Parts: sequence; structure tokens; C-alpha cells
Amino acid sequence: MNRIRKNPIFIIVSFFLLINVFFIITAGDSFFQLDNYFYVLKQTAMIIIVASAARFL
Amino acid sequence: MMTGNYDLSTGSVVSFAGCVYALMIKSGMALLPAGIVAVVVGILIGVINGTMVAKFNFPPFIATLCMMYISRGVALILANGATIRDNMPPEIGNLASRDFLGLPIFVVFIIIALLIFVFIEKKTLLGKYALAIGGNKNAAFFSGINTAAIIFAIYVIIGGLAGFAGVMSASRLSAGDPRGMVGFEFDVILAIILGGTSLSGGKGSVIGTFFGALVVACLGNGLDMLNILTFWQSILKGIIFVLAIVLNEKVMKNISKKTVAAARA
Repeated sequence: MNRIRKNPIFIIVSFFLLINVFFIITAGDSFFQLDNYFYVLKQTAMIIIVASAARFL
Repeated sequence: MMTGNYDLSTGSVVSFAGCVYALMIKSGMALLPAGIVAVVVGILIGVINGTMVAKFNFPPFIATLCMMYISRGVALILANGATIRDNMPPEIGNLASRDFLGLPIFVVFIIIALLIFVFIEKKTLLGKYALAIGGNKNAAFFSGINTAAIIFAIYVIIGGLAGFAGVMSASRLSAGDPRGMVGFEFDVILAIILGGTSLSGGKGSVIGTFFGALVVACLGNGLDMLNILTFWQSILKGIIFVLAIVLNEKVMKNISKKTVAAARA
């Protein structure tokens, strides 16, 4: 369990979930919609694609 | 970042390739050949970056900073300093508006990129060698790994993907913007660091990078919904950057300590 807690992926996924919970509470239903998540992914697609390769550098 | 190098030119290359793509479409070229030309432009810049860093041992900061300025300058010259939008055929936006199996095509691109890079990370020599070079470049070199070739290859791949990102960007905006994508390279670095890749190289994962990028994007999106000004978002991004680096170094130090302890035991 301790090893999982110190795993960078576990930390970032927890942070991601925390942010989502925060915005679902504060920004309302409009945040927690599939269309909104698709919009976020569309906006980030270029960063994700380049970053996936750039991390090997 | 895994091999201890980085590329500061990605934002300018995305903008440059987007302008090339928009100009090609405007001149009557079909979408696919125009896209290929834009990707080739990105690859050529990757080749220059890779040659400077891997062959001539330029510091990556200097080499990619030079290419950042050169790419941006050429994009501005090509576009005459203004956004390429006038008389643009509507087909330019076709890629961004397309769906595949009910998913926006950009999401499909993300899935494909993640699958490819997870495969490279886990199953190919390129991934293993990159990790080895990041861990200890000299040890990797003396164990027979052609470190220069690996670093060169990665720069070329990044250049090609930045070219492709330029196509996506031009398609999304239905225009080529020579002043766009400022700060893109730092968003990329932020996503990588948030995903757990060590600044000094040798560690990290593709899935972590994906979640790193998502965290930044979700924060921006959520703050937009709360009507918080972009200036504050920028400050918040800076704070997250610092926290990510501190956390990253702490976690990496813990992992190193455990590895040393396990080796001694």
C-alpha cells in the first residue's frame, strides 16, 4: 500500500480525481458531462500527443 | 526528458507546420498531401534539432531555443505576420469536425498515440535505451548503446508529431496562426513533470504524462466555468509547476532511497 502511495501515477490520478470532485461541486453539472470531457480532451490532444513522445527525450 | 534532454521548439513548430498546412490548403492542395507536407516540415526541424544536440553536442536548451526562434520567424514570414484565414476553403476544418465510432477524431488520435508510446516504452529497444540513457548516459554508451542515434531518433519523432499537431491546430482553428501556440512547449513540459517523469531523466511513464496533461486541462476548463480570469489561471499554473517539481523530486528521492536499501539488503 505504501509503495502504491509513493507511485507518481497514483499521485497524479488522485490529484486528477480531486480536481474533478472540486469542480463538480463548485462548477455544477455542466462540468461533469461527457461532452465537456470530450471538449477538454480535444483541447489537450496536441499537448498529449507531443508530450507522449517528448518524455522519451 | 527521460534521457535528460528537452525540446523548447515544439510550440513554434506546431505553429509553423499549421501555417504551412493552411497555405497548402489555400493554394488548392488536397488535405492528405498538405498534411504530409506539414509533418515533413516538422520532421526536418526534428532532424536539425537532433543533429545539433546528438551529433554536435549543442546543449539542448540552446539548440532548441534557436529552432524555436527560427521556426516562429519563418512562420511569420510565410503568413506575412497575420493569421492565414482569408479565402480559406472550408475543407480545412474537416479533420477537427470528424467523428470515429462516436468519438471525436482528436480523442481517437490520443488513444492511438498512447497505445503506440506505451508499446514503445514497454516493448521496444528505443524505450529501454532511452530509460538507460536517462539513468546513466556514460554507462549506456559503454554498454554498447548508440546514445547519439537514440537521441536523434527521438528528436525526429517529436518533430513529426509537432508537425501533425500543427495540422490538428490549423484544422481546429480553420486557419494558420503564426502567433499561436505560445507557451505550448511549457505545457508539454508541465504535463511530463506532473506525470512523474524526473527532470534529471531515467524515470516516468506515458500514462502519467497523459494524466498530467489532463490535470492541467481540467484545471483550465473548471476555472473557465467558474469565470476566473485567465491571468489567475496563469498564476495557478505556475504554482502547480513549482509544486509538481518539489513533489517529483521528493517522490524520486524516496524511490532512489528504497532502491539503494533493497540493493544493500
